[in-house]
Amino acid sequence: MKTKIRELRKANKLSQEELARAVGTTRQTITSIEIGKYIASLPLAYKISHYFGLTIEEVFDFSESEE
Amino acid sequence: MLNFREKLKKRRWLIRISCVIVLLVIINHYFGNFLSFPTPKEPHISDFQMGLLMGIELCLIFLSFKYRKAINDENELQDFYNSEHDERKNLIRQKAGYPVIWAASIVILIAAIIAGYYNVTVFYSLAAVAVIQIFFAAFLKFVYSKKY
Repeated sequence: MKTKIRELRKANKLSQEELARAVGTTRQTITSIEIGKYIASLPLAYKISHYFGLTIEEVFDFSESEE
Repeated sequence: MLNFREKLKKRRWLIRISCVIVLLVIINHYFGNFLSFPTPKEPHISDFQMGLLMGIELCLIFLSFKYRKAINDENELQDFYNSEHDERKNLIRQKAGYPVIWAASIVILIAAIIAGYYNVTVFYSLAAVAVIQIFFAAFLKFVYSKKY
């Protein structure tokens, strides 16, 4: 699944470690979500989106998984 | 987070108690068997048991220091909490069968130690099964951590 986490992080000048700590997860999980290896659960997706002040659909691209 | 700190404190007490018990058994073995424990017929089985206990002791000491660091430092505690409740890590552990395999391996190792007092072949078989299980679980964890 594609996400905009990396772009949002760069725009907010945040490291993976800082984002991970803010949303209650680990740096490795953020890395895996960013490169599309791991699909975040709904609560984690909500926390990440909420942190950036966006909706889940604005951060996560569901178009591939719908096909 | 306060509850988690209390949970860690309780776990640290359990670790400390286990540490003292294991140390007592090791001291007893090397300094005259003052607790009058039975000893296996084969000396190398006794050596294996002591090696295993020393390994467990080192792990317990390491864990105790790790917990102390987390209890005293707020950032460490947060990282420890995040790591323990991380959904990806938990998924990998579950997929690799970590909780079940570790519990089974510990039971098998205890059975191997008891069997060591009676039969060498049974001891080797059980010890080999436990070690292979642990390596297999570690291999699966590695594979799934690459996948996710």
